[in-house]
Parts: sequence; C-alpha cells; structure tokens
Amino acid sequence: MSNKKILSALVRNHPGVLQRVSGLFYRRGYNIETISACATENPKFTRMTIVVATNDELEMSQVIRQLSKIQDVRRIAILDSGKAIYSELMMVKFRVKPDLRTEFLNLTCRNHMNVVYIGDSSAIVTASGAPDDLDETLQKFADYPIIEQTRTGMSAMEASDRPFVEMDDAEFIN
Amino acid sequence: MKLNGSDIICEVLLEQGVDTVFGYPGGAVLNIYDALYKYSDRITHVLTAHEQGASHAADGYARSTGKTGVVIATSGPGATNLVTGIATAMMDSVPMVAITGNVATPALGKDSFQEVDITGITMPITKHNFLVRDITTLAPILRKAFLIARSGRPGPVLVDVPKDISAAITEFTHEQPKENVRVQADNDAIAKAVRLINNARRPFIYAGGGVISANASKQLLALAEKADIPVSCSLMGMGGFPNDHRLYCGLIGMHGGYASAKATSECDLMLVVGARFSDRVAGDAKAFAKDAKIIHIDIDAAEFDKNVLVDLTIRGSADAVLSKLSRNVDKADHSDWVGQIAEWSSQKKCSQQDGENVTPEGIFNELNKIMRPQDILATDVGQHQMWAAQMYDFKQPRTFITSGGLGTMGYGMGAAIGSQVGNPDKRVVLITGDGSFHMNLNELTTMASYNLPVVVIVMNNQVLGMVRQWQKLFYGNRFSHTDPCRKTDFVKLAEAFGVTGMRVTKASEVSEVLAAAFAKNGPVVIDCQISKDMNALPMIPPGAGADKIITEMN
Repeated sequence: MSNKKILSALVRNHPGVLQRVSGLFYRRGYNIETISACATENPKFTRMTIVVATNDELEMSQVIRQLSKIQDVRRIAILDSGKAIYSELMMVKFRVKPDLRTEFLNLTCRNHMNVVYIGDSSAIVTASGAPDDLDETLQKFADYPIIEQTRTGMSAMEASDRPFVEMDDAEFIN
Repeated sequence: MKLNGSDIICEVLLEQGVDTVFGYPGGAVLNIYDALYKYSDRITHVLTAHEQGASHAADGYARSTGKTGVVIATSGPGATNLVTGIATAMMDSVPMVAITGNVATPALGKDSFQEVDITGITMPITKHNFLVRDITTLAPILRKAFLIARSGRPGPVLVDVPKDISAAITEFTHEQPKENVRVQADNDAIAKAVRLINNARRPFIYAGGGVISANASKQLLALAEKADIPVSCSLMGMGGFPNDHRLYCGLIGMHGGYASAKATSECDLMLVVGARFSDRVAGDAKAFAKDAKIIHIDIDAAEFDKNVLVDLTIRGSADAVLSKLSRNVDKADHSDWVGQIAEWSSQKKCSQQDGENVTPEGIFNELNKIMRPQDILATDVGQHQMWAAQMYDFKQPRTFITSGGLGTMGYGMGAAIGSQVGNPDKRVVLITGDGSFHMNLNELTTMASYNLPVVVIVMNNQVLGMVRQWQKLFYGNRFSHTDPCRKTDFVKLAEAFGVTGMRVTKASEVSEVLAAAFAKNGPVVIDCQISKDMNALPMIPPGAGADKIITEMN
C-alpha cells in the first residue's frame, strides 16, 4: 500500500457526480486504481472510496484541492492506512474438474471463502478482505484456472468511535 | 404567485440584478423567448448572429462591467455553439451564467431532434452545471448558479432547462440574492508576508487577473507605493496597475519585456497576486524566480504549488489581502532596485519600423493619444493581442478585454459587442487580425443592428501571423497553411453589413482615419494594412530565461 493513497469522499447523491469525480482524474492525469461509490446512512450523500496510485505528496494535495472544488464534493480526506479498515469483495469463477471438486472445496474452506455456485466443471467463490490478502489467497488456487474474476474495489473506514467526516448540507461554494 | 418556468427565469434574472442578456432563439427556448417578450421593458436581450458570438458577448460584458454575464441558447447546436465561449470564460475566471434549452424531459436520452447532453459536454469547462428535472427546483438552481458564478474564483455555470420545465407552472416567491461567500485571509500568513516584504531588498510583484476580478487595483497601488515595489502584470492582470506609473515594469511572460524577465530572475522576493504561474508566464517552472522567496496570494487554494512551489501561500480575495498587507508593511525605499529595473527597461528595446507603411507601433502610439483612461480595448488572439499588451497604455482595470488562458481566436467581435452594450458611455475599440476577424466577422451584423459604435481595427498582414512567426523561429520558414491568399476586401465587407469601412495603408494616414472613425456614431471597420513580417517582440522562447530574449528577427 506504500505507493497508494486511499481517499474517502462524501459527495452529493446526484446523477452525474461519479462522472464529475472520475472526469477530473482523467483530465488532470491522475491515476485511479479503484473507485467505489455507494449509498450511505444519509440518502443525500454517496460515499466514494478512491484508491490513487501515487506516493507523491504534492500530487495528492493537488488531487484533494481539485476535488474539493467540485460543488457536489462535500468532504474529502486521505485515510491514514495505519488507522483505516479497508476491504473489498472478490468474486472468482474457477475451472474445477469434477474429480478435483472435493479438494477444491477444502481449499476454499481453509481460506474462508464462500462457495456460491457449483457447476459441472466450474465453481464461483466470493471472498472479502484487504486487497493484498486477496491477492495472496488467489495464489493458493494456482491449480485451478480462473474463468473470470471481478473485484469491487476498496471500501474503507477509519478505525475510531467517531464518524470520519461529519455530514452536513451547508452551503459550500468555492 | 404561480408562474411558469420561463417567467421564473426572468424573475430570478431580475432578482439577481440582471438587465441585459445575450442569446439566440430556437425551438427548445421558445417558452423562454416568449417570456423575454413579456419582460422586454426590464430585460434587454441582445441578439447575435451566432451563439458563439453571444457567449463571448456575455463574457465581454462581464469582464468590462464586473457583473455576471448571461447568455441564452437553444438545445443541440445552440448549446454546443456556446462551448468555446464557456471554455474561454472558465480559463479566465469570468462570472457567467449560460441558460440552455433542452428537449422535454420525457424525450431526454432518446436522441431527440436537437438533443445534446450539454451538461455532460460542459462538465470540464464549467465551474458547475445543472440539468433541471423538476420545476420546483428551477428557481433555487438559478439562484445557486449565480452565487457559484460570482463567488470565490468566478467562473461559468450552465443551467440546462428542458422545454416542459420552462412551460410548467409552480409557486414562486421572491428572494434577496445571497451575499458572496468570502474567504478570510489567515492573519498568521499575513504577518509572515509582512516580515518577508519588510526584509526584502529586491521585492517584485507579479499581478494577475485576480487583481482585476477582485477590484483590487487601488489596494495594489497602495502596497506597491508604500513598500516601493516594482510591478509587472500578466496578460490577465493588464490594467490592474497604471502603465504610466514609475513602478510599472511591463508585461511579464513570453512576450513580456526584458525588465520584467530580469526582475523575475534577480528579485529576492516575488509577491504573486491573483495569478497562476501559467506556462506563458513561468516558462521553465523549475527555474522561475528560483533565487527569490515567493509569496502566492490567491482565492483558489488549488493554484498553490500547482505549477511553481512557493514559500508562503495566502488564501483570500486580492483586495482584502492587499489592504491588510499595505496597512501593516513598513514604508520603504528601494530606489537602487527600482533604478536597476528602469535601466533594464531601457535595454533590449524592440522597435519595428517599415518606412512609410503602417506599423503596429504607429497605431498604438495614436490610440494612446486619443483613448481616454476609461475606454476599453478588446482584442482577438495572436500577434495583434501581444502588441496591444506591450504597446497600449492601460490605466484602469476592466479596460483590456482579451482571451488569455484559452487564447480564443474569434473572441474579439463578441467581446467588443458585450463591452459596448455594458458600457454605452465608453469608447470600445477592437484590435483584431485578419485571421481572427475572419472567424467571427458575422457579428458585424449585430454591431449594425444595434448601431454599436465599436471601432474595429483589423491589423491586416494577409497571414496567420503568430503561427507564421513560430514557423520562422522553430520550423525553418516552412509556412504551412499560414498564408491563405484570401481576397477579402474588408471595406466592401463592412459596407455589405451596413457598417462603415475605412482603409489605412500609409503611416501618415493613421491619425486622420482614426479621428474620422471615432467621429462616426456607429460601427466602423478599419482595414490597417501592415507588413506580414512585423513580429510580436520581444519574445522569450518556451522554457527559456531572460538571457534568451529575442528582440530582433526578420
């Protein structure tokens, strides 16, 4: 994670807000590693977790300042990776020959994965956790060819009693 | 009271103090134009020949008056024709509200006739934009659009109004416009800046467009005089400091003078006010003022450390920050340094003579005699624009109307129209080139219809001069498509539009023809025929320093 920064942003839950945020990254040449957006406990807001592939502090402060100028972005900050809990959901469809099925199921069990579908010669499993851990887990399945794979991108939250950012809908004009 | 969407638009415009709008009608804005018909006693609508002209007119109106410019266009091509004007306003931080019509909400997203996703298209070139999907949100959205456009670092905001929304009826209640959101400058940063200024031996100010948009030229003058600091202006800052002042050292940047380039490299403190170290100013950003401490004052925190790393940043409006600084700095005398800069100013002068023929210098010498301090000079983009910045004596803010950031050829006609509409008591002169003028000369018809007494001076060198100059310098005189062999007769052209046409070929005729043009109570086009080998000099090649300044070329 040393060459990555995790941004947490509260944005207005408006149509087009994802385009405003992702468009800014594209235009200014910043690299998004993953971006995930979802509803929050407050229907007015969407929370975005954006992983930026950089370890350049100056570039990061530019990213934050530019994002802060988007009218629909209400709060934004870098999560301290030491104090944050982060997780993503991975879903993988493996090629599993019928004679290897039992061995495969044991392997998923040992690695805390959920088997959600078993076909004639395939299986779909899900797992969640920190991206690096998921990468490591996948390596243990080298004997099973991957047919397809999808990952949600990271969701993150600060490990503390308080909300990371207070939500409010006050006038914000830059 | 119950009003339809179009009446609500007019009511909010009035609420916001708007009495003039620019635009062009069309299918999706028929409802809005029907309301403009009804409100014509309170809102003046200026019809242009093309929506692009209307967008530049709203921009020129805003820059020259300080008010928010408003432009209205229909859906589809009407909206896309605004794009260049909106991007121009965005790059130069001009407050503008663009209202576009769109197809009715049920037809959105169906590739309907004249439908375009204008909010999607303008996302990167607006400060913010809105698509109104619900009539009850129309008035709040419009109010917010004005607030966003004029607050903080100003910029364009687009509001897209589908046709069923401009017809729908809802309850409307008047509201007072909200105060601009102000940023209070940090007192610690001010105190640090005061110490740096007091300790500086060779301080230097680089003033940008923020001085103009924050109406901070008085405060700038006060600080410069009290602390005895020489001042250079960027293209956007031109007019922010009187050009005839002893502390003024000229334009800064690629086409700036030797004095401002030397002062940049020799100063020990640079105070940057409302400017953004554009590549056209900073050149090689890493080497820019590298021996100086730099203080950067700006309303937009995203400009800090973007192009050039600085020692101290002060976020705030230029007027507020400068008045705090000038109250607190010590009175100083830097006469040795000011004298040194004056000496640099007298070195490496460029003067291009051409026998009996008209020269840019001759035209500006004459304009400097007959223009009043409050009069407005608009330009297009190219060599003539740089000549204007170098040779015209700007004395007041909001008198130089030019496209700096985007460098929009074709900006001038609309901008001059907007400036004249917003300032009926001031003389408006447009300096343009034959290349730029050819782009949007259709707006002569607007000048004729409204009898706007703009004097259009076409510096006609028969070529696309600035690009040709770069071809001379960097492309071995391979004049690819910069010599178009056009046959346009600008005098006949003007007359065909119902505008007076004049021609100047000899230097000796300039003063007489200008006097005759100024005496007309209507638009005039003057075809000023100049040599195609007049260059925009001095020039510092991209990425080079003061020592590489070019003062002569063929």
